[in-house]
Amino acid sequence: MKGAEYEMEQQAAVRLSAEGVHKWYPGGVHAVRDMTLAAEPGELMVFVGPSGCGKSTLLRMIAGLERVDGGVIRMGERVINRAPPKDRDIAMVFQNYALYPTMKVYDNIAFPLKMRRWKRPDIRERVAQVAERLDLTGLLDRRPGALSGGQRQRVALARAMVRSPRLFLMDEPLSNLDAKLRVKMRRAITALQRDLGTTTVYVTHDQTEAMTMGDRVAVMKDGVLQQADTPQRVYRRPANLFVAQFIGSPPMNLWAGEALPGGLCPPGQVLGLRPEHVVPGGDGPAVLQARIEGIECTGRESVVYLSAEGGLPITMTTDAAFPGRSGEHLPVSLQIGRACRFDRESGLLLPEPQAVDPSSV
Amino acid sequence: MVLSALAALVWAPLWLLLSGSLMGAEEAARSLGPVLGTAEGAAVWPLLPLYPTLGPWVELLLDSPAFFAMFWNSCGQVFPVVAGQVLLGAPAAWALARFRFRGRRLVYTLYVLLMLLPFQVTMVSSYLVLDTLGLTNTVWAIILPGAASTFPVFLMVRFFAAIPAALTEAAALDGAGPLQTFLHVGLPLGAPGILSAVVLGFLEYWNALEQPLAFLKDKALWPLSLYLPAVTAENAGRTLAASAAALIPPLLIFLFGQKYLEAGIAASGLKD
Repeated sequence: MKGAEYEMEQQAAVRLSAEGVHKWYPGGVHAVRDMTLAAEPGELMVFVGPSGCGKSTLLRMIAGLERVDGGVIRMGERVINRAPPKDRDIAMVFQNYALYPTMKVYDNIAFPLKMRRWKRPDIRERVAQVAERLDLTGLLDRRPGALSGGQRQRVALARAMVRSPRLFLMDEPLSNLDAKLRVKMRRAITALQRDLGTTTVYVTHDQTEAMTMGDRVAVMKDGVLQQADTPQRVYRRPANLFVAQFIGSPPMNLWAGEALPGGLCPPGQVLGLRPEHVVPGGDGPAVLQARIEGIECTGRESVVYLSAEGGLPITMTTDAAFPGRSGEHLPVSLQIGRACRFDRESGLLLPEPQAVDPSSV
Repeated sequence: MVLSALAALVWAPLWLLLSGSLMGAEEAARSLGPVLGTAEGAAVWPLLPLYPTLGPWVELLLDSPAFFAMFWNSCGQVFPVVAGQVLLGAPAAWALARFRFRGRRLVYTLYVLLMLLPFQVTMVSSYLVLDTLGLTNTVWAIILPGAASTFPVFLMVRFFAAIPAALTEAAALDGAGPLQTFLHVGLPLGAPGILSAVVLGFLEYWNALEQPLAFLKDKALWPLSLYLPAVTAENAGRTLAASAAALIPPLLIFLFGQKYLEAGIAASGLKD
């Protein structure tokens, strides 16, 4: 009835926004609290946080699989709180792929089109096109049980993109793959998303995935949004102590002001410094004498665990050729100009002090 | 060794049945006489008939219209029952397994409770209901209660509940409504459960004695299961042959459905 035009043509990307969204589970569990954030049209937005932070719950509310207990979720201007999932024009990739085990790969991919009453020849053409794009052409006659993890993953992606939905949701889609394949699929998904230009929400607990894939990253904890920003901003200026610890590996050094030598950081504040901003040698007020407690060399860089006077722990990343050994002493300088300062009471990031000249420290 | 002996013992009645069905009427009467009280002495049952004959079978198949009528009655009652169990039971089981609605637990508890009651307990009330509806002494007295019986629902609920939620959620996002989800995801994935319910239902109603005895006065409506108990010394051979013949359909169903049957028994955790 819709003829050849169907939804074959790319739709204009849509903006997804959540405004003051709440979710309560029975037993008084407040899984999502006053969540307000938006994914801009065409953006790949990553929800990241430890398990139980509410990221999957929020995703399922967007999909229509969980009821929204408070607030508003919009796609474009349209409020979708009460729309049933099938009317939202959203496709989702599940963690365990959720392929229909009784159907062949072809029928799995064709299913969303059949449900939309596409005509048979149109379905065949569209499935062939998508299968080609995801390198599944030779597998169309198999059943999901006869596929490897990576192949199932691609079938799940094909089924999601086959009808050009307005929104992609991905719930930890790579967590069942081995490390090597994960890196490959990470790139494949971002490339695909960029090509299609479809607004996408991607949920993961893996901060590396979040940083490498997201146009923007929303960090969550205990159902509360901590920060939503570009990976660079989240990394350089974490909004609070939780984000500072959660994002980055090895994590940011965090020192109470009192524990540091005079003048580096006032009491009541916490100084945060990325391990790559600790460098061996140097002199000046920001140089500490430290003892090497352990070294981990990844081949690309060395992570050096140090302890300064008073047992102050310091993590430093440096050149893979770092010559030190455990037990040795060496001076390290802190690039205080790159540091973040947090209020210890609230844990919040304090504004950058104006006009600090890095060369003065 | 012990196990083999026990296994052989389990087969003994079937062996007696087959060998008996190949006995001449006189020999059968002589062997069974003491059991039926028409002769003195101890019953003797030879492992192989002394004078094997196909007589009882010929008699049964060529000269016993009652047997065929009742065989046909059985089919006419069992197949609608089983079909009804699937048509009514599968959607009911799907609803109980996959939807959350008010009173769901209550309904399910009721199902389990009814399932646990033996037929004898509900016989009188069933009779009253069927009588009020004017259905006694019609095949509907067997078919309707059978089609709406609780065990297949219970069994299928277990299977449907085991389908991962992600699959029905995926179907919902792929644009399937509740009915389409049931047809495209629920039925294919629940097929083992449905088939095991079919097999168990068939076996149960093929062998049913109480229901037709209680609800059917007209002997013309009686199923095969009621033909068999009428053993006398004169027709022993024929009855034994009839028993053997009556075994064939369930045996076929069983062979066909064994895989699902085992899964079904394992899933329901009980067998009546």
